[in-house]
Amino acid sequence: MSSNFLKVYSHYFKNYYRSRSFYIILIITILASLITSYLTFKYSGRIGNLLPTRLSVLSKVNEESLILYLWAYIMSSLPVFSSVFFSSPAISSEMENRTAFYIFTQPVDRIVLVLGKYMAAVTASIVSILVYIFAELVSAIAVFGFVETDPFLLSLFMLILFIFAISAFSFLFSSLFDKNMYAYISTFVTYFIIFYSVNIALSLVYSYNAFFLLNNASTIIERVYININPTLFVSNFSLNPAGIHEVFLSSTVFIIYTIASLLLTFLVVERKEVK
Amino acid sequence: MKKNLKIIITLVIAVAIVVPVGILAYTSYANSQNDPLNFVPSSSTFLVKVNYNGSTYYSFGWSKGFAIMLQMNSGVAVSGNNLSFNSTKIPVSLYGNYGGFTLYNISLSGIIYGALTNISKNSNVTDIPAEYFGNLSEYYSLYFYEPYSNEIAIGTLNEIKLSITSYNHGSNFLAKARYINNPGSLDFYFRANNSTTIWGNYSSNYTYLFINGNHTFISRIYNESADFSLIGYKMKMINSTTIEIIMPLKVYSRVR
Repeated sequence: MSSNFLKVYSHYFKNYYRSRSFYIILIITILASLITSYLTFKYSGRIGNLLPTRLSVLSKVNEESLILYLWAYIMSSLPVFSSVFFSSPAISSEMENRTAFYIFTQPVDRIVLVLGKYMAAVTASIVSILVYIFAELVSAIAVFGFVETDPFLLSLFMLILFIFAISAFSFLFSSLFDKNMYAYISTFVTYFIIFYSVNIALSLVYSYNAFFLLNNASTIIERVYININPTLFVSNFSLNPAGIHEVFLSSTVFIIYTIASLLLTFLVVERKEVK
Repeated sequence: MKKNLKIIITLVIAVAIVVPVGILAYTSYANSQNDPLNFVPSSSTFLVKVNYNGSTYYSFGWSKGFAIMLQMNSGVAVSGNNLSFNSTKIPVSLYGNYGGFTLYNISLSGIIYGALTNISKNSNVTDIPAEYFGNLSEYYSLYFYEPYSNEIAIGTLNEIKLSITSYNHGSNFLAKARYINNPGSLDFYFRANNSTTIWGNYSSNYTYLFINGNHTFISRIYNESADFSLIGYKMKMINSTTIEIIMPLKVYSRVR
């Protein structure tokens, strides 16, 4: 079983690595890195001016946190694009291209097949974002001379958990449709329209923090620097980082999405008829 | 059938793991929301909670230092380079960043040095070993940070740093909240040593005192003011916001 898994994993990772999608994501990541690096160098000395008056006088030491918050804020969106590129067509493309008949009839358990492909997609997403993380590290060290390791590593760990969750979520949509386009659109619409509108509605109408939504939980990637949730409406805020309880809650949300989405994907794929 | 059974078993195991973890994570998050106890280290030797005029104050620390948490709406405010207590303004300066929090320095060297000089003139402080106080220079400066937008924590540098670490690492007092979450004007917790913990609750009608350790003692006294003395510990309830705990020096020296 493990040798089958490794074969599937390495085969699909090579496929992802050689695909056009990988280079598109890489270009998007490089562009994001360049723009954020420019902002870092250009505004690093003036970031305090953007803050409320009460805080601006005393906030110089928070510059590094603010800059890294900005980097992490952009970084928390990149996995959505990479997962849509790598994971959304993972199963639907096999149906659309009619390759499922050859693949699903191989003497390999379908769960192993899905799991191998899923891990390959996750690895491809992580590799494509490494460029951005490297640029973040270099820019922060160049401007501030140091990077606080605890929040930086915590942010990276949260990013990896988020990649696992969003990839599993995209796999679920991919298993539901036989056309790539439907899988792409459904993932985007669910994440960027349904999740965001539900989050905003609950926040505005009921002052409720919808912590269980994936987009809300993903903000922990930047909130380990400064606990400002960009998906919520709040009138007062501070420049403090998120506490361990919030990190624990978001991690749990990521893990639940990962397990639940993968289980449902397995169920759908197991029952899928190939023609 | 075999495939269905496999799926059912997988689902049951997944639900059995995911649901309790989810509930635990949410409960932990919900209970910790904006709770000042997030910033009180679980290893604090003492913690006192005072409810006064609709505001809650916390004081915690160890033998060599302390910190106090105040609500901003209780007349305390940070504005520009000043920390205001009602109409009194104290200049503050930026100290640095620790654990993601901005620390500010309140220089009280002049005020405290004068106070200590007066105390030493008017009392026999030479009876107390010098190491009991540690390095007094630690007390010359106080530091503060803002745990929440409406709270401020002021104290000695070490205690302020430990307070932030307890928040970042989750080693805070939330798990021990039962000690001080009683109705009343004053709740206190005092860990004299590894085997003796004293905690209690003071209100206008009654006072509870618990001493847990080698000896257990529970008292309910219907007095507004009361003195306790047990296994060398003396405690005096002075009024609804003040408590005095006196412990044997030999115990203190062992703690050090």
